[in-house]
Amino acid sequence: MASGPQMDLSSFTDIMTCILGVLVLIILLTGIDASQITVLVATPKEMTADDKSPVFFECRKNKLFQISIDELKKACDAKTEELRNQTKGDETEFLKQAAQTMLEVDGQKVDYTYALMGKYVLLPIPEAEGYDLGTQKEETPDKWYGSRLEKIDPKTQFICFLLRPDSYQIFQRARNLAWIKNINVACELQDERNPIMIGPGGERMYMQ
Amino acid sequence: MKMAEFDASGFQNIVLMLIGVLMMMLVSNVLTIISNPENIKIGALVTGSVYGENDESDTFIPPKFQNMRQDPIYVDVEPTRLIIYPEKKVIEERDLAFEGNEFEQFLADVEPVKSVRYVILLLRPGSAAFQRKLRKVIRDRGIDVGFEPWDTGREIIVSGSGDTTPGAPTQSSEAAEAAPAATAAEAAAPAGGEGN
Repeated sequence: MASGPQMDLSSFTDIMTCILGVLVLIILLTGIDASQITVLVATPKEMTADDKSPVFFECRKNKLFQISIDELKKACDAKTEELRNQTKGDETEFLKQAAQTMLEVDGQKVDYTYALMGKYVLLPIPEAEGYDLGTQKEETPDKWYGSRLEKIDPKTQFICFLLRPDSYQIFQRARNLAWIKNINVACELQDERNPIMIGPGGERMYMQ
Repeated sequence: MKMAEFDASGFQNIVLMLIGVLMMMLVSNVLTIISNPENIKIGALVTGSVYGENDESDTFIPPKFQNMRQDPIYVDVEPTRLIIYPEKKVIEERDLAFEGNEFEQFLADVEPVKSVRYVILLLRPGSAAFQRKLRKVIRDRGIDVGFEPWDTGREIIVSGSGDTTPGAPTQSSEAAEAAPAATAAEAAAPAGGEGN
């Protein structure tokens, strides 16, 4: 059998081996870089020119409590009806009873007298149990917080977290889930036990 | 003298295949880096805005409304004092009662560059009343403000805090890389000058 012209490929092999070594180095470097990517969040700034309506959640004892204005209104209306029936139209008696009335709604004590004036003064009930928010994967739309997020319209609503000092962790998780749904978030820091006041005469909340 | 001959074609094939595999790995790594927009190096950022990084960071998606246009200046707000980063200038709450106090001076320096800088308040537990005052004072100056609840004892790591170069504004990532992290008042003024 006739053999063809012989070619010396040793230089080519050398070059390929060198390329191989360089590639291994580059891959090591890029691999390290790729694995060290940190999620950095440029903190959103306050938006002053927006008129979305707030949906309130309180973060307390590392649990979540929803403060629903509709529920508060309903509870107050029901109480008003009850007191009217009790006092049978006697205004003095009605006011006397109203002054002594506190409602309990979703883990909050509501001052009924203020509520009659359209201002909700809420005192946390220490023994009330809130919602223990799990991880992002666990919080599906059928869960307590997930279902509430589903109902929020990001175009017209934002979430306002009323944050107690003991609940930073749950706030971060809850905010994370809200951000994933593209819902704006506001945060109002609260002291450990101070009452929450919602209504006219307060400061405007700015979402981020 | 005739040298020993050996057939290197098998070795060449293996090397070629290895190069192919490595090229694919390289492309994969490069794509991972490029496709991650969070890897953009902004002048100053506090890392770890998420808690429970072990269980959440894999699935964390930064909000679309994050502020990528202004460089932050971080202010650590404790119940009775504040600390301006990265200089770690401490200002007591009681000192804010005096006219021309250090915080007012700081805001006066930030004000001319407010288009490229904003103030982020890192809110420690117990600082509710103090931070409300600060937010109002900052808003009144027309300076943008953001806030981030920050647990007691949690370390504040501001990237590039050692850099003392007066910074460029953050409209591009290149400029941002050159900028100092969270430059406080003195550095902020020249930065704005360059930016305008």
